[in-house]
Amino acid sequence: MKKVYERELADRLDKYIDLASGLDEGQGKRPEASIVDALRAGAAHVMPAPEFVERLSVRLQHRAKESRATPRRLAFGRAAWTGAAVALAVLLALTLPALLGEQDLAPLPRLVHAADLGSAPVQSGLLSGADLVLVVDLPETPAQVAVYGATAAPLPACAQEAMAWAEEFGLPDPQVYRDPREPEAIVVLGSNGQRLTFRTFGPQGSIHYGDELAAAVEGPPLGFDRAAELAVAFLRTHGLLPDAYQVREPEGLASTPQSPMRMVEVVPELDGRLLRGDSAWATVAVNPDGDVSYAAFTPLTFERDGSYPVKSASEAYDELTGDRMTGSPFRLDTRSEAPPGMDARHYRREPAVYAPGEAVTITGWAQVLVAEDDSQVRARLETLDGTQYELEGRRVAELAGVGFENVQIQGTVVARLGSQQWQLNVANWKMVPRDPPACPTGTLTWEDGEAWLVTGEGPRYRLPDAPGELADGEGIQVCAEDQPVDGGAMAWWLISSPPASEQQGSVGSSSVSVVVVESEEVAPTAAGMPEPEPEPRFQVGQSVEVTGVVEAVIFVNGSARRVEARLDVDATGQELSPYPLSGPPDVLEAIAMLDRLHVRVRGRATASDEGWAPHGQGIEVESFEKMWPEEKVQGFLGYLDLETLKGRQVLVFVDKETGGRYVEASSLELGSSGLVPASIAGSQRQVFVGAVVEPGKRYAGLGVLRIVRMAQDEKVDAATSASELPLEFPHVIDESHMSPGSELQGAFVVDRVELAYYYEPQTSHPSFSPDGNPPAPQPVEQILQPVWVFYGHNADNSVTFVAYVQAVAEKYIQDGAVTGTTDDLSSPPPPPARATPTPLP
Amino acid sequence: MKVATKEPDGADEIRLIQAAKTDRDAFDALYRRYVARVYRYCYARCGSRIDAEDLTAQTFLAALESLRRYRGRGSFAAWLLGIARHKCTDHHRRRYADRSEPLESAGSVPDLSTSNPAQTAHHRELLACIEDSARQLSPDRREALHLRFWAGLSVRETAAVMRRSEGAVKMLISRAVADLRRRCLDEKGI
Repeated sequence: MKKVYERELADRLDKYIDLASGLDEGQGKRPEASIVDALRAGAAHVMPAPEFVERLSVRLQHRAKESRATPRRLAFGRAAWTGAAVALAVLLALTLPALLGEQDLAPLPRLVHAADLGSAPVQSGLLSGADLVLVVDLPETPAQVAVYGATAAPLPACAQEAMAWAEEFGLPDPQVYRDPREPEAIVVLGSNGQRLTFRTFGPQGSIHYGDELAAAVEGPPLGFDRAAELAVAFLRTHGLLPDAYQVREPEGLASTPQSPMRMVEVVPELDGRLLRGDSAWATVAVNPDGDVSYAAFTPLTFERDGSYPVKSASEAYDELTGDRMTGSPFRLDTRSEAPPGMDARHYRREPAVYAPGEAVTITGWAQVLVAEDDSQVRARLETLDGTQYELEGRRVAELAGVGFENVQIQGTVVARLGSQQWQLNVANWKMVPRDPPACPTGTLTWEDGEAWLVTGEGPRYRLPDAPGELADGEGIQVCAEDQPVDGGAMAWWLISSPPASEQQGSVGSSSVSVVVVESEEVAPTAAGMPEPEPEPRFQVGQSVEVTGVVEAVIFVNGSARRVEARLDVDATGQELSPYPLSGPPDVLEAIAMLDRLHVRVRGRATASDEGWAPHGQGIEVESFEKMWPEEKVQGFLGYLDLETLKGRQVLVFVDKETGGRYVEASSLELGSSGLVPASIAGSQRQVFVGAVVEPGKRYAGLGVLRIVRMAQDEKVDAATSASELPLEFPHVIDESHMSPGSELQGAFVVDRVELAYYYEPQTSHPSFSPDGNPPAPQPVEQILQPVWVFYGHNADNSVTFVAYVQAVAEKYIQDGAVTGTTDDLSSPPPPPARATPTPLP
Repeated sequence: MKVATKEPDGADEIRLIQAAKTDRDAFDALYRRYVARVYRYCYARCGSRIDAEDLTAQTFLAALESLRRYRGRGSFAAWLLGIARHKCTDHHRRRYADRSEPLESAGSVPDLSTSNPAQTAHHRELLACIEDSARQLSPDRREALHLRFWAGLSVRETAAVMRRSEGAVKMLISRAVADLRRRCLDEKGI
């Protein structure tokens, strides 16, 4: 609500700046109006001196005349005519022109890889853990390299234009649809399963082509060279082939028996240099018959735009290894694979087969398309194993509003449309939470011809249709769409051996851990009444003494250690995020030990640049004390279930070890299961919670439990006491594993270095701006800059990296990151969890 | 008086820019249209009349050289102020000292007089507080104010120069104004 209010105020303020209206309130104007008035008045009265304006005008006209009368290199030759200083003039003629030419180059943006850490520039030292050895000669460095302007080619803006594209691509009986989740995208469907999708991401756009019939073809994949020929021919036919290009097979997308498509990337070249980065090329999939089943393009046009001096490859390599430059390399892509000898196997279950008329219940992801004229709604459900269900029936239209939620469909199978494609008549549907898939690990056991997953001392799950080649006693990980029941059959769709957590280079975990975020108390407000503007509680510099709940995280990185702590101040009637706490490290470290507990803090109100800080304020801690000596975060093992107490449905936690019963705090405030996921609340499965028993608080004769962390996985299943499970407060995060490049430890060789161009779709204009309005899409030119690209790998090739260093000489790079500040609503860290305001004596 | 945030007539502007690429008189007209905004922005950034003049001159000299590369795909004001921004940043890099002069020393002395002497004094006091407090704003908030008020850019143009979304710029300005309000109105009671 605070952000909504802020946005509204920001809009009103903006209107006032332009129109001098919009800040009226009651009998007068908001106080901000006088600030804006003063700023306007101050700005309006700063004027350049008239004599300066005239002087500069003459100077500019003189410069314009010079630059048009003679080439710039000769301009300073005029100085030679001044007589006495001939030698000096010659020197100037030789040196200054070049210098001036360089000085006049417009600075180029500092390159930032938007995917890194909230779009912040990559920090230095990315490769500090890697011992790099250069095993290739560094390439010659050209004195200057051209930069190019890249502009997105126009995409269809309306149904008629999209239909013209569809005709060109030969889609029979094309119809235009819209996806309610992506209202800006235009989808054209042909009657034969061909599809064209036009998407606009701010000023960028992409075109996706698909052919479902071609995608269903099976057989041995084509050779890459033949597939590349066909891909190039496809692009040429549709006028989408760059003037100069290279073809290559994308990494990690090699053909497999399960996916016989041969993928081809067609990458533009500029001046013989590849265009690296993201989405600057076409990706084309060619089926075993030689037909294109899928293609994606980002249509761009290029225009040369001046030349810039560049760093040498040696200088760039020094930046790569020297740990000196913040943001250099500006991008580091790493790829880890299981080392040779590790036999990682993955099995997918044979897709389900149904009989026509069979009643089924299917859960999956729905894609809904609404015809441009609203005459038809088409919906498709896709499950985790890739099976698709074309939905029909009168209730299909209701699915237009499902958004990004999972949907559970009850219906009847009508017909089989393909090997993994079915037609399904919808009888009933509901949205279901998108919980992460359950992927327990354990040991495979064969019993009487049936396969079982045995999870330590805990539950066992039967694995129907398990691959016979899995050996008894083998460690495996099994993923299923739904949480399995102990002793029951597991509707698995993936078995991995060994478990992903044991596969070197892979990521993932078998546990499902949920941190419960507590919400603030919902203050009853009169319907339709605007919320009162919260007033700052403090003034900066003011001494404060406040009580509240501490929230702290400790970050460690090698020997470095820092505390981020906040205080969720007890306040009534105000919706405020917690105050960031500052102070001496030892004080913050000590207060962090009281994470999630009530403290009384004495200190001073300070200004804070944290975007979420209430009124931009924080608290500098001078001293503090625990409010409730007996209050502590404890681990509990037990069960959560809904009960009706005193006429209200609330969630009750039953302590397995003591039999104690508690009302869960968020359910008390919000009703039903509160903030506890419904899948856990009613699962009848053992749960481990880290929680605080609210001092002095009771409901229906039961204590109130504030849950701050919760886990439900096979380790919890196996536990008999809460003391067997770790409970860490405050949370300690090892940052050294969070930064890109952290996996690059040990010896690496750099065996390829090249100068390339870099493209990355612009991300500073999100599809939906923070004010909720889609930005007006308009072509925006982006500058393609040269970059040095370094390719490296470790001894067994299990870890490879590609590092990008901006090549333009540093003096021609402008300062400042491209995106992301705490003031940008598209990027701020989410406000931390709020704790329930608790009345204190 | 309102800040000139509205872009000049589009067609006229485009014609003028196209002509300015080959016609020095047209460039002079373009220069006169924008010199005050560039100067104000540079003054706000460096706080010195002499430096503001120097940076304004550098900006227009660079614009003269680079104008042929401007293709009219975005606001000319944003393009020009982008150059000014780079020049000011370079200037700050070269001169670490945080020099500043009183606002009244900038070019024509601001005439804040009104018919009410008490109101004039109040304006001067408020302006002085704002000038002082603005230095304590975060760089992004300060820069948004500079571009929006002193350079007279629209929200869209400010967003283009700062490479942010329009919503983010509005938020930067809103928070900057709120901060100035708190410092000057709430705390000092001006």
